[in-house]
Amino acid sequence: MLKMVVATQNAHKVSEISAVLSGYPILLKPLSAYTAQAVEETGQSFVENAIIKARFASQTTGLPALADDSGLIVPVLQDEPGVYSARYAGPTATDEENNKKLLATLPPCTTEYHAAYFVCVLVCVRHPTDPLPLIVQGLCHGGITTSPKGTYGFGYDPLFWVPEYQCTMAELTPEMKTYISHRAKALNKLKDQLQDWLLI
Amino acid sequence: MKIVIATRNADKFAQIQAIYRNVPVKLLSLDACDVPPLENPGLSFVEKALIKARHAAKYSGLPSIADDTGLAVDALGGAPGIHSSHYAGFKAPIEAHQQKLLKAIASLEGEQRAARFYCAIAFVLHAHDPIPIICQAEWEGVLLKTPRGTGGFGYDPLFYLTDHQCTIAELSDDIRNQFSPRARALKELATHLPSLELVEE
Repeated sequence: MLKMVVATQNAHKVSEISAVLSGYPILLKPLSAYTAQAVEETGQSFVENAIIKARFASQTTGLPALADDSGLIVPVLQDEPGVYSARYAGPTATDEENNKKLLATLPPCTTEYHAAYFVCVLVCVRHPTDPLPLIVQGLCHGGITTSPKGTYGFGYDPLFWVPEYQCTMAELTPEMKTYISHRAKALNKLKDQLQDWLLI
Repeated sequence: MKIVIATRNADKFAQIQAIYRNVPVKLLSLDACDVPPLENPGLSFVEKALIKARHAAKYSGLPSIADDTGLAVDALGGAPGIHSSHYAGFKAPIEAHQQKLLKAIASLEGEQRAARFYCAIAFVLHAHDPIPIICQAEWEGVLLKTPRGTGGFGYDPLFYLTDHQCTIAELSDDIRNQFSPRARALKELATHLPSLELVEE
């Protein structure tokens, strides 16, 4: 069975990815099983950061690596919080603090909501200097509501309005979320391409 | 829509123009947009293409397309990779790069000489575009022991395409411009451009 390291310290993310890739003979291990070190995310955007994390994880472990980078884009805020989504209100900010800052920063809205979208980029490398990384991207379009609603999910989910379901992302059950979320869309693309790519 | 093409290579610019002749975009060169040279620290094709595209967009104020292309030999862990154009030194002639490569794989036979000719294309709407479009394509083949054919450039005469039963240098310009990784990646990108709703009719 092929061992692959997932460049995250978040065990929940590893199980979410494992569930989607369950049909493949791949054993996913979190990077935290090998090191507590993390690489500095100096990229301009999600894809650059995901590549940096994947190469770092592969270099540290000697294994093929998978990394994700995701965040929220609000066009009216010049694409903020973007790669700073997790640390929008400061390096140790909680989800609640980030949500508060987002609401405080948004200008008054003349339409139903300010448009926004979640982005998830997944990158796989077979070795640290792999010239042909596999890159997939998933988007989830919606908007930002005026007050948080719902208790599922994490991050900006309570503020993220999903037009198809007329509720926030945090009001969708985890199962529903796997049909529409940016990460689920990226993971499904990865699933389609991973086998061919690994055979290279 | 005006798009700057992040290359100073006139042949490449012409090739991209030819591939995009039916796409309603106006392509500009780096020199036409006063984009300064770039020190390029990227680790691989896709990183380099992204860096070049963002750089061109930053200085031109326009959407931009950049490519990075090269040869990756499986048995060499992907070398010469991003060093393809200067494998034997920045001023070395093409023959020197070819000879260095042949020497590095001299002991290998048949399938062990498998290689990929690879192209990554990055498109950004502006320098900080959070969702660049990345299109990648490759040619699979094996490296011959002696060059064959006179077309193309770089490693083309050594790269035998199993699908086409000849080297890249033995393909006609037409076929090469239709099926090369750069052409296929660019065509894929063209299919994404209309969805940006910025293409001028």
